[in-house]
Amino acid sequence: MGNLLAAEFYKVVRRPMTWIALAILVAIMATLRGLLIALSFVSLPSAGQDQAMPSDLFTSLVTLPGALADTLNFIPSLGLFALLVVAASNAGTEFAWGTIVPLLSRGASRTQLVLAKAIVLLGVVVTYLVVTVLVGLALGALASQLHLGHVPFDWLTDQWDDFLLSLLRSFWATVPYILGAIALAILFRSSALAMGIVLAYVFVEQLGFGILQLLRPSVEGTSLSWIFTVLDWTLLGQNASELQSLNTRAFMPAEVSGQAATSDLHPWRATLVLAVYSLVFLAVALRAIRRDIGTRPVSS
Amino acid sequence: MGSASVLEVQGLTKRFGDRVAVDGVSFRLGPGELVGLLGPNGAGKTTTLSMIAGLVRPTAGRIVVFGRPLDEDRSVLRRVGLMPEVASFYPYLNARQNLRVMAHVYGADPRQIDPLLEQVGLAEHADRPFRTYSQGMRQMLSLANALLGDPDLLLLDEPTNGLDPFGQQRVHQLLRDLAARGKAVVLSSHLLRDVQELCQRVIIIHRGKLLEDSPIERLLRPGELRVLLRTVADDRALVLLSGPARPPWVSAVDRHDDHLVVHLPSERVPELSAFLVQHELYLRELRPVEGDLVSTFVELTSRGPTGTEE
Repeated sequence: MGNLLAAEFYKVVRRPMTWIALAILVAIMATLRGLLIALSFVSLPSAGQDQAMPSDLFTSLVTLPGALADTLNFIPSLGLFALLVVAASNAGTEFAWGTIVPLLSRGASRTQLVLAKAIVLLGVVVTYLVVTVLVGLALGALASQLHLGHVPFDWLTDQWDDFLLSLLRSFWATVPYILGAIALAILFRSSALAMGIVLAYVFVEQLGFGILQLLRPSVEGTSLSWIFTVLDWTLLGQNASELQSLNTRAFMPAEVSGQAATSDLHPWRATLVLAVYSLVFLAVALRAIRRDIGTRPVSS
Repeated sequence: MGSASVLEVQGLTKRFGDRVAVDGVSFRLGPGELVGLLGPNGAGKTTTLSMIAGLVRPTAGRIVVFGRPLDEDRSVLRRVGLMPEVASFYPYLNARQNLRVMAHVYGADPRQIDPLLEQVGLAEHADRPFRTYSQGMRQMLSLANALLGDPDLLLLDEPTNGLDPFGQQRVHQLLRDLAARGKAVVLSSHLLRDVQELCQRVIIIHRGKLLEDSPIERLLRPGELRVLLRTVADDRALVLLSGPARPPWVSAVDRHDDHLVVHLPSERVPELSAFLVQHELYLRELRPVEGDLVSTFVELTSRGPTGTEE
């Protein structure tokens, strides 16, 4: 197992895609945060008495510790797309390039190969998370300096446990997607199919569930309300969102985080459901790798 | 089963749905043996090698490597080097880095990498990404990978594919050296000249079935010699040697562009020379032609596994 881990680590570290995707994410984060910082200096008319002023909202979003919520949720939301591409490509190109043949020709354990890939790619998730959090902190510190004249560090002593827990939540919300991408890439022996299916699922769930949410008030209290209960319990994105909502609630003022503060969150249920998804995807990957391997690359 | 057997394949069968790719193939291989695995396209050679390398699970049959059944002990595969038909490596890594990845996986000493690259002639290209390699260079890297960890059994699928004559010579010499060091080699190739030049034994597979497993001399029909003949008047020589006045020991004469090929017992060559001179057909060239594996292969495979003409 150690040998396979070393090989997977060696490959992923030297693959330009790993770092290009991270650079793109950092650039996106900096651009979006830069826009928010700029907006936070613009005075906008109030939308209503009971809502926070938009400029206050933006100030809370870009200064510390409020900026931490957006920072910590960046990887399980936007960062997920880049990570899916990296994970699906890592597993799928072994078949497209035919490198699965020399990898397995000396009797290397197929189970261990899948586990090594999963561990190294989850290591990539941690790396991306750490880098984006550091960049987010730096941008938060900059915005705090501009808005408040100093960089508040009291959250480090008051909320360090929340901070570590949020890191863990962000990681956990990403794990099933990564394992799903690996499983599909091995199952279909194609990076493109794996990326396509997982990304399509993410979009369809977000869009479809968003539309269904409009119907929720009219269904609640009726005999059909169980549909929403089942969806809340079982949908991958729904459970991942629950963990992200907890991150938002941890660092944003309640009047700003709004829905997250009032909604009925079930962190343990979400954690468990995501764990079940992860185990199912891992089982699919381990089963799929056992099939015969042709010596000609899929791409040829 | 002898203890000296490096590889023993018994009744090896592989079905893909209704199609039988390999059908009850059996053979064995000893140390230092260089065996040619021949067969037309789709005969089942690559599937056979894939099963021995543990990549494809046999439907039936048994593979015993170094005395250990493969289905019970896959660790013996550490001593089996595979060079697949298509060289497959990470395009963004250079030759040295690609071999380092595989050395990690095989548990091989990475200090072997540079001498191996030197051996296959890639030392000066070792730092170029694999994607920039020519087909010949890719093949050489694949051979170096097969040799990583100094395996005792090598399975080589078309190793000289895409190599220039220098590369082919290098591979031939390397294979001879390996066999001399006691390594067993299965060489699957469409280039029958390679097989004829290198192998002591030939296994021919056709439509998944074993057609022939013989020493190469037997396949090349040593009893009958073929001599290349050029005289002052080839046309007249042809008429003479194929007409009613021909000597009874001449079994056939073939006309080629600028020479004739005469089939006759080897001890009759001096008599042929005298016979021609007697008819004022003075010799320009008379030399034996080596046995031709191509014609034997074509003859055997066109007969098919059942022995009937196809």
